[in-house]
Amino acid sequence: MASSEDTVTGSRSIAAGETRGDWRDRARRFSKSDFVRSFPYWFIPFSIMGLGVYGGIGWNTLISLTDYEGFQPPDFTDLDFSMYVQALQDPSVILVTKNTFVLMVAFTTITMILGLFLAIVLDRGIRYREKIQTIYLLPMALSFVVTAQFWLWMYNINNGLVNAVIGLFGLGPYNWIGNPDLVLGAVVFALIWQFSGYAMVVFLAGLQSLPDDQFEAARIDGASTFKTYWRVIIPQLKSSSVSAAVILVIFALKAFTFLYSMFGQYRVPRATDILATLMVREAFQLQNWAFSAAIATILLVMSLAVIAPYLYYQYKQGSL
Amino acid sequence: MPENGDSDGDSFVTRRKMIGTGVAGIGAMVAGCSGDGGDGGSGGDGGDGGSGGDGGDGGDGGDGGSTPTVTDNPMEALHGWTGGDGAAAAEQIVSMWEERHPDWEHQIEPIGGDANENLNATVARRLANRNPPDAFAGWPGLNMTQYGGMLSDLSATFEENDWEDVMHPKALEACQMNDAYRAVPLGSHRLNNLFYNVSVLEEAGVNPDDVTDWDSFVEARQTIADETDYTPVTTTTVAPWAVLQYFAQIMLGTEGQDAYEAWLNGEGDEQALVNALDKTQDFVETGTNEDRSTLSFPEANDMIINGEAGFFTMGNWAAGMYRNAEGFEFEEDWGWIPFPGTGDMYVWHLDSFMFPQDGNAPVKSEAFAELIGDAELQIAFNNLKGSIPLRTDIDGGELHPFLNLNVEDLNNLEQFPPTLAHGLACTPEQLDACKGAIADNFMGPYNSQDAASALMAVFE
Repeated sequence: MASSEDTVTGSRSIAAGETRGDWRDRARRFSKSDFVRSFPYWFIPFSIMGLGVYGGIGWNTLISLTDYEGFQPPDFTDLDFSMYVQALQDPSVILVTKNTFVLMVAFTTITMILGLFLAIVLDRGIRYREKIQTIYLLPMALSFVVTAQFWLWMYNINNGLVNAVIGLFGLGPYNWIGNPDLVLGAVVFALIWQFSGYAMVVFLAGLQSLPDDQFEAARIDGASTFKTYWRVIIPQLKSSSVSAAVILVIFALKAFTFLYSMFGQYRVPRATDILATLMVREAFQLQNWAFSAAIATILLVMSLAVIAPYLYYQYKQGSL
Repeated sequence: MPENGDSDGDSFVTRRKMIGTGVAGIGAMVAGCSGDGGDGGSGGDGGDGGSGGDGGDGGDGGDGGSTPTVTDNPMEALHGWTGGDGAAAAEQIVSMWEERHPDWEHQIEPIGGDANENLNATVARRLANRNPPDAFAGWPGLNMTQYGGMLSDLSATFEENDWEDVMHPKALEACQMNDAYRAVPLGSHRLNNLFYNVSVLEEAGVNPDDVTDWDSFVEARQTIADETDYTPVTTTTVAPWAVLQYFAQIMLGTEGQDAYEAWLNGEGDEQALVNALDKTQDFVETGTNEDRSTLSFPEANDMIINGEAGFFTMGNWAAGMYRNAEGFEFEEDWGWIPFPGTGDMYVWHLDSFMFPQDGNAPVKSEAFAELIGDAELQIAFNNLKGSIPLRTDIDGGELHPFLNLNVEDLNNLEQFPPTLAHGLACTPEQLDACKGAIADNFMGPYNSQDAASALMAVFE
């Protein structure tokens, strides 16, 4: 009886011991799982990045809902969209939004087309390929501070290189920076010059990952070079073009640095005034923090809106 | 196996420690952030209380009762003088501070950029984040109103040093806000200058002393164009502030100080602005360098130094470039006349230092304020900077002859219209709106009517 009780107790205790062992075992296995082992390595960078980027976006959005201005701390009790209403009714916001849109679309499209063209030319195995590639990529390595200043010299109406060159064809001289109809184009051109090399490298990498068989097959089928690229090669460069487009849109947003370096002021010529310059003026010259946060949100939404249809299309195609 | 287990266990512990540390670190960061936020929140109220406390301190100081304790924090002062003569002048502040207070650490640092733009942005950011520097350079007058409620009351310092007796009354006036001194004046630049290249004018047969008003200026400009191949006037229009400054000088020179100040007070005559703007357009477009929209003001000024142009108008900081140019001497190679029509005016600009209330080193910053107002420093600084000291007890012989000429005008003239493009006459919002009015309507194509109504609207 006693022994049977003992046995029962014993068996019970054994069962309990087993479950405890199980729990320990699971804990040990869990602690040795990839998730936990890798945790310190991804969690810290991830949380810093998350706090910096998404925390920043969230904080900006929160500020834009307040009426924060001046040096007194913001009041978070009364959140509304009044700053957005004010921004959308402000003619200068409308104007700079238009400028930003033109700059972003023109710069991204032309840079990609030019980059693709250069990549194809280089991929044809022309002579001095590597050197030419380096020469085209080099402008991207230069700081905006440098390129903005020397484009300012290039566009000088009296002794600038741009007017000297088009003068050979009997054109100009044009007042590239002083004429409000030309200045945005001049800025976009300078940005294209700086980043077409980058687009070229991205496309070139895409081109070189394609097997040579496809060119041979196309040739055997009697396709012309143009047709080969148009029908066979370019459609396969979708993932390259996604990454190029995303990066270029981001560079277009960074045009603030270029404009600030070029004109030495937050207030740039009206025709080149973009959301980023307006935002900096409102925030750091006038301390209209909430209003400028609203402008920042508009800028973010706009760049997402520009890139989103394209990303969605690529996603549908399975290239993302 | 046990060894493995051990080492695994060890490494497990290490990882756990790491996670722990990481989490604790992030926790601390979050806590730090929210703590800061809390501080910031209460800081608003505390700030108000602090200002009351400051007032009390001031009273104490007057009694000579308590001595505030010196903190270990370095004295941090921000200014915007990075280039050439400005940097050399700022170096004087540093060396005199180190000489007088060798044991007191300092961070007297420049924040670069045109027209204090980056400096103001940095100051604004730090004031908003409740992390103010102990002192910063800035324009007093209406520009200072943006810092209302944030700046220390310096009246006791002014009284102790008897500055009310030895500083220029105009400067004393501009440094007051809310019934107290809030800024220490350092130097003044004159705005209504017309610099000229002596040999260009001689070659053209123009006597600069004859250029006294708008009509004689137009005539002189035409003579240079007719008689020589030089550019009569060199200009810069790369940024709207320069055009705004041209307009202000021409408005003062042709319509007079009363019309200018009436406009600033919201009682302006729109037609007067249109007339001045028409002349400004003529000034910018007739007989000037075509590449003005790509030249910064130092590049435009180079045309005077290189003997390519006759006249140039700019604040007298431009004269700093002449002093630094080899073999380009005052009166032999370059000369100065007041901008046409403004001979009896000193268009008034003022550099000063301001002192935020909740700085980290209050005792040291008071010592810094005393240094800025010191006669010896004002001579050393302004001689290098090319501006004019605001102490009236300085012997003119200690200053550069060109500066001394301006000092005499500063002390003897009676008309002191404040500068618009440099913030004495307007708040930052109004200045931004003025630049916007110019940028939108008057940077090519030039529309005087629209620009005038936009400029009128700013001050209404």
